[in-house]
Amino acid sequence: MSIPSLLLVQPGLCTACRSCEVACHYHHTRRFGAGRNSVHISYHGDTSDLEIAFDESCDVCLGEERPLCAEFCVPGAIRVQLVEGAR
Amino acid sequence: MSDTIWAGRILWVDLTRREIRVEPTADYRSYAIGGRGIGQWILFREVAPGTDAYDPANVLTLGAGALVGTLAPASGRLSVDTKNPLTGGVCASNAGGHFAPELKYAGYDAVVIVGQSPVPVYLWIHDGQAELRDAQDLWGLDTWQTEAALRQRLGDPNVRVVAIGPAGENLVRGACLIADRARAAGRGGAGAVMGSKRLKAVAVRGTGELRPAEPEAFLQEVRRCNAKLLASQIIGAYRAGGGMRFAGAGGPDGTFPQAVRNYRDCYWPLEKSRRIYEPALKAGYEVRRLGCFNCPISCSHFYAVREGPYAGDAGEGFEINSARAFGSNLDIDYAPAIIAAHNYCSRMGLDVDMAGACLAFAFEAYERGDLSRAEANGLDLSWGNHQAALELLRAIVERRGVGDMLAEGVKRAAEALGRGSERYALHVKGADLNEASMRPMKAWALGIILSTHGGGHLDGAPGAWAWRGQEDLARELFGNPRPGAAGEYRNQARVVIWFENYKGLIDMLGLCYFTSMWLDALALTPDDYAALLSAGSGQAWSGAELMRRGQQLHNVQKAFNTLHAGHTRRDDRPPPRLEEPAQSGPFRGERLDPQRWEEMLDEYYQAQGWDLETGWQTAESLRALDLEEVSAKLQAYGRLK
Repeated sequence: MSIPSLLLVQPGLCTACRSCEVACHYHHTRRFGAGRNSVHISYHGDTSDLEIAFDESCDVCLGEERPLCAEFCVPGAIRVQLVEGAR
Repeated sequence: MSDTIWAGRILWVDLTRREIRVEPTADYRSYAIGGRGIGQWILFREVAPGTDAYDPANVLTLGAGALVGTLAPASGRLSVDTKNPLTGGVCASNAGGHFAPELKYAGYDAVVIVGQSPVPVYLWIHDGQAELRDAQDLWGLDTWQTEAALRQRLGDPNVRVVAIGPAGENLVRGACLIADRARAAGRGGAGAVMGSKRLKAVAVRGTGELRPAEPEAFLQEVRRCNAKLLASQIIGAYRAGGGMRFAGAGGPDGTFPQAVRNYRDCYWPLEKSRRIYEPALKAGYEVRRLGCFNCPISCSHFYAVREGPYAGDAGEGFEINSARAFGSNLDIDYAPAIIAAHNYCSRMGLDVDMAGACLAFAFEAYERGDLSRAEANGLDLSWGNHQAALELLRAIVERRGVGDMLAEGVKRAAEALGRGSERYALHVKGADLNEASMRPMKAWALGIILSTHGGGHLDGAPGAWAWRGQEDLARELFGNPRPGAAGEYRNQARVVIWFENYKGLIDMLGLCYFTSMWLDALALTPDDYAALLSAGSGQAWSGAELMRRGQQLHNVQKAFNTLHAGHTRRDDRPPPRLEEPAQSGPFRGERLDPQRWEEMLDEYYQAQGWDLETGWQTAESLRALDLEEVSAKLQAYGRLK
């Protein structure tokens, strides 16, 4: 799993709310769930450590106005990286 | 397959017969909507008056609201409804976390549990399947151990668990359910009911999905609602520091009214509150901020203690009520001890409010000489003694010595202890009380005392803070430009009723109260919630219709209390301690005047159309709400006016 180059990920800001997972599932299906998401939050309740990972099904929200995981990540743990030449 | 945003099915589990069946949610959708609505309607119909809370015939429901599992903001709430072992009336408890959305993804909107298993069991729900499994080896584990054991056993770290700990197993009347290690369905003793049924946990995993009727319109409504929430200054303060910064340990400047030394006072000296308030905790202990499912606010904190006698203690969900219960109300200003007490309650499955009230009661009894050191398990229960507080908590969970008496809650403990201790037993309708600001804020106190589950601020209690600068809107909604204002007894009934109904609709949808006008008048209105429900369900809902459903729900719960607990007007009065004036600080001299309180009750009952003498509902008031079913049952038991 790797992080798409368009996205800037800062796990330290993540609150483990999983909005990104639900928004991602929505992108793939136009439905709500947490089975078809490309982004995955793994939270460890004993330490509050967590990981944010993307699997190969991520298409960086092709067809959406902007990546939905970043749009709905209020704490800013996933953001769209402003890279010259990116869409 | 889901029924738009509803999973479409309700799971019924009979623990006595080990039978599992399903019924369609559609039978309830139009009037009960979801969450607390479905839970309370089932409770009202299924449990006969006279049934003890621990009787196998009591019903325990776990319900996900209609918007749970969608992208609607903070849409992860779980309603836990049952007969309340503390009050004999309703338990209507509510937890965040991730269990409720997982339940819907697994194919169920609610779980209804009846009966009693002969041996400990857990319920395993996964993608439309449900089965009871042996939990004898889990009995005795705390909630954190239980979650870890079930995830390992089921081979999936994404399994969500709601469990009881030793407090529920030992039938501590204030035992609660814990999900995700710190999300408590706290008030109302549902953990004890679950323990009486020998149901250790419910584990759930779902990979299914919900199908909004109008996906694009729904997403637009979510964007609009999120923008409103993020524009709010008050919600901004919550995002920055959680509820703790807003009102914990004296609030931002230390003067926010608290409960101090078993409510003798409502002001804690600044040098003490500033050891506990949010900036101090952030600097000393905060590791991460956290949020429940899909929450744009993320009010939760993960605190870790690194040195001193509580080094190694770490956990989440520390809130205002923990700071009060184990801080100001026990006069303990040592933050690590308060964090440790909070985490202990999460692990044991014990309601912080109940636990704190029991401790404060015992500390005062000890100070007065009504409880000797020998009777107090040899503990020195002097104000501020945190080691003794933690040890007494353990005694309550394990029902050792004086802990066995306190495990029944302060009302029953005072009856057992005698010696005049009833006058400082802080409870409402039998439910232990842990609230702030009740002396100066009259409408806030009214909303707390009238809460059908026995003393709680997350119902009809209006916060004055939400309405500053919004006088015109308040006048339009309530006929009162200053809802909840300090010192104001009059013209508050309509405000309290409005919030009772509003909270009902929010709990039916399964969203957090922090998205609402309870926190900020500029947050989500009934029409905003209706717009989300309309786009999700494909049926046109208005805010007014949802408010009416909320009012019906409140009346169902009120009727349950009348039928089951025999509550009358006398149960709508505050504990005597609050009639005594505050002793120091900005609110010195403030109290709840008994005469003025009666005037408030008159105004409230009149506005509800209820009987002034008994406080009971009337045939006319229930007819106006199309609640003939409720009316007929009250009539049959001779409790309708």
